[in-house]
Amino acid sequence: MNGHPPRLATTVLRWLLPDALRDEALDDLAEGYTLRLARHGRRAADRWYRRQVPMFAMRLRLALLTGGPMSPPPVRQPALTGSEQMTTILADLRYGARGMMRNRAFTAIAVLTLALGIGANAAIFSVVRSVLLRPLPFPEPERLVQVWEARQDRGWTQSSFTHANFWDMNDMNQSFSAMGAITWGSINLTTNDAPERLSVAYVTTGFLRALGVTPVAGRMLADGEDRAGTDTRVAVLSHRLWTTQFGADRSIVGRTTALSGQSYRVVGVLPPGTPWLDAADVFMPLVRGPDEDRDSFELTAIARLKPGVTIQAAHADLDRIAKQLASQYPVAKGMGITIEPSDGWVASDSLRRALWVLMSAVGFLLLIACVNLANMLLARSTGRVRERALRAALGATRGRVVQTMLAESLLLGVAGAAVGLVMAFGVVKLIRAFDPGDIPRLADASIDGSVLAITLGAALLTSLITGLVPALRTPYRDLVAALREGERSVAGDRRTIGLRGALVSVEVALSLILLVGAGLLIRSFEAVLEIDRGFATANRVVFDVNLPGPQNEGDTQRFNAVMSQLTTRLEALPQVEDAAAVSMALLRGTGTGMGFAAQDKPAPADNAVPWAGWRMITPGYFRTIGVRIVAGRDFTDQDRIGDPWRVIISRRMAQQLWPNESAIGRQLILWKGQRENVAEVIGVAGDMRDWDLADTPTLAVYMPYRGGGMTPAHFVVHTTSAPMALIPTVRSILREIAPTTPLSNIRTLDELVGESVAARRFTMLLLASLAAVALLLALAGVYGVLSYSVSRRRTEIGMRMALGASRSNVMRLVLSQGMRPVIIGLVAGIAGAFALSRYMTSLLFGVTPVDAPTYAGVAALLAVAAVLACYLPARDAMKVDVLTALREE
Amino acid sequence: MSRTALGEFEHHVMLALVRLGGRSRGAPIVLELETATGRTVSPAAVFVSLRRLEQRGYARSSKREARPGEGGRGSREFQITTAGKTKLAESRRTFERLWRGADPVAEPS
Repeated sequence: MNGHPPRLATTVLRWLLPDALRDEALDDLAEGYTLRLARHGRRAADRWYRRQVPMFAMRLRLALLTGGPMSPPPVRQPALTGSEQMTTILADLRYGARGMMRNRAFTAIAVLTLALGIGANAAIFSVVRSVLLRPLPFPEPERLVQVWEARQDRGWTQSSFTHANFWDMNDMNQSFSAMGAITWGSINLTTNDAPERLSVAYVTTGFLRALGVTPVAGRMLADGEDRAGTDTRVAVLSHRLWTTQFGADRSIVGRTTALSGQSYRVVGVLPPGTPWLDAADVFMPLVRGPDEDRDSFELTAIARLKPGVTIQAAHADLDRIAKQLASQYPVAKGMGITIEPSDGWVASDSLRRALWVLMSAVGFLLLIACVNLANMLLARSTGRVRERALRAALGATRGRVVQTMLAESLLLGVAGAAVGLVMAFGVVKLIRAFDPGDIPRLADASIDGSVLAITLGAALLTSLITGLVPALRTPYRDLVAALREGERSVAGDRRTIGLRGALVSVEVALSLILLVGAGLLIRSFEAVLEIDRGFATANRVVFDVNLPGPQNEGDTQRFNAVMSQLTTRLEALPQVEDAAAVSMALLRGTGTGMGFAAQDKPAPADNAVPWAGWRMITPGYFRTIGVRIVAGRDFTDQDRIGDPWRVIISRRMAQQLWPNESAIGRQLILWKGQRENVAEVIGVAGDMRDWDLADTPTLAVYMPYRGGGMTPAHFVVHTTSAPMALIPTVRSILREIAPTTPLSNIRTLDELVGESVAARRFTMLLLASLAAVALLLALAGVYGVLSYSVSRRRTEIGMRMALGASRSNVMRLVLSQGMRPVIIGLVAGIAGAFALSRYMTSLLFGVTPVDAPTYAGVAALLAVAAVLACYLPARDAMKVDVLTALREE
Repeated sequence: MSRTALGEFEHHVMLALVRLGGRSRGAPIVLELETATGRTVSPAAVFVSLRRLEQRGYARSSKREARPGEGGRGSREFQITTAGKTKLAESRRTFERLWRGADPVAEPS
């Protein structure tokens, strides 16, 4: 036999070899090739030759490098030297790559499976990292704390500070290097053509100092700028406002701007950042008055601990001051202090919980992908048992065989990671596009270095584990049988099928857990939307009219005039049924509250005063929003706040105060424990979930706007047709009545409901998609194992049929074999879901974590899908032709 | 001349050279080793090893013109030297001394 060694390999080798030894080496190899060609044939000789290429190149180069024209060869050890190991790894990788190219369908499915697992992990991890794990954008964030008042006498552990108590703490504490307070408001910017509504954070000068932020331009608020009597008309712009409104112009610093008719001097610009810094458009001094209120809880307080001071020490220090204040002022009776670290500033507990649930879900998904891949590799490795037996028989050590197999799964892992990362980029984009709006720092989520590192780590680990399982299953004990019979009836094959069945059980169990989680969230979501909101949403539009806060009697009159004019003009429109305003923004989870008590009942204990939300409304609010007045009457234009005190209360509140009695005409103590105004109840209105749909209906006290100076005015308009079409008319009316007043937050009430459940929908959709992918992977596993096993049992099935088994016998046989691991998995999965779902309790609404219908539904879904996955192989089994099957044997 | 003992692989290569009549090119040595040991043998290792043996004086080589049918432009042919033979005999004696008395323990029954 004569022939040339593979030309390409020769060319590569010629190029790689050192000059001095090139010809001799090539001649040596050529001769070896000729000898092998004669003995083993072209394929084997070609393969041998190619494999020598990297080996020769590296060995000879290394020999030259380590000295002399021909340095001493490394002392031969039983183990391979580093360079040889490297060479064999390269060879194995090449071998693996060839295998992948040969079996493209297998490779595609394996890579896709891994990519799904890895991609989902990378995407969710990048979100978790951005939202939960990244440190706060402030120096030494571990020294930052949040401080609350506690009032043991009223049973409050965390309350906002009153102004006077805050200032006393600020002055007297010895634990903080800086302490600050913040409260919120809004203001109209009138520099441009269209008036604009800006949110304002009123902060003490210590606030920004405690955070430790450095201005982008200009300066922060200076010491003393929060004292009455100094020039407090200064403003620090948020980075967002500076870039959007002022074109990031540095020369804005020092200029004056007209805000709500007053001129303010811009002294600096904040850096971007979450939290706090992005919470308002403008930061202005919270001015310390001469005689501050000790009774109204309004300020959020933060502080920076002095170096070395622990939270416990600070607590002891502040608690001492609190006791002192409590003994000094009767109104501060029972005052205490709560201090918490800044960990919770970015993500709320429920968001934290939701993200960890999602993170565990993608972890499960990766696990399922791993199991699936291990299963696939196991199937393939059983098919290639003869190859491995041959290699072992030729002297390959166990380690060597394992290395070859690992090289293959490593390649799969790397390919999977690559595809997975591409997918993750897309998924992160998608997640950001679906941003429900209340997940802080979500917009910053991206695939960065650490996400890449984690992904690659996950891929390597995955491929190592999945590759090891089949690699260790080389039948060393029974080489001869393996060589002779190859892939058929090898000892241990039954065990392999058993192992694969176990893997299927694991997959089914894991995906069932994910499905249960998704199912619970879906049911919670439905429950939130289906719950009785108490108010109507159809054909209703809401918008904010931002009238300047009344400063004096004249302003108040003007405010009320605009309110009633606007309402009257709107109601006069043919397409408007009703129009009204309310002081609390609907479904935002925030609002004003007060303690209350019935005057004709025993007073509640100080620490058990019930709490109600209070809102100001214009007459007709209940009609507009579709709530019935169940007793008494609505306000009229003659009702004025505090003149005399007359209120409408919600039905639950009435029942709580005067069970089975009429509430009308009763005396109600408002702001119990504080101002204690006594009001007459003139009406009882239906309950509303206007705070948060997932909350119990709020206890509410309604008071008329008229006569008061309440600024926020959230209008609700009930229209006969498409509500949004009304907005241009509203604008033109408003322009006539109050030319500089901006309109903002324009939504239909339906949209508002949608927004209020956006975070819930977000988590639900993510978990549901993950569960769907998990289900698909598990089904692929069920199908794969069963169809493989059927193909292996063709002869047996043929014999059974020859001996009289009916098609339905065969069907039952196959189905029962396929469903056994599924059922085991279902049982294990239900147990797992039972154990794990309680961690989701805080994310659920209207269902318990062990909701039986969800479990049953999910298990049924999985079982039906698994039967379908089993059906295809079973049908193949029934089609077995008796004669062919027997002849194969 | 180096006093260091032969490495295991060098030992094998020299023995293969002897079995092939004391003179051979690299490729047949590779085959001989594979047949005798049942392991895959890297021709690169043999290539390097032969030249190393030559450096140590245990082998010498000559370049031969190519002959038709054998391919190549003339491989290098190696021949064991007297020093090589002495070294082999020496290491054989060492091994035999060491083996004496070790058999009952070392031979698997």
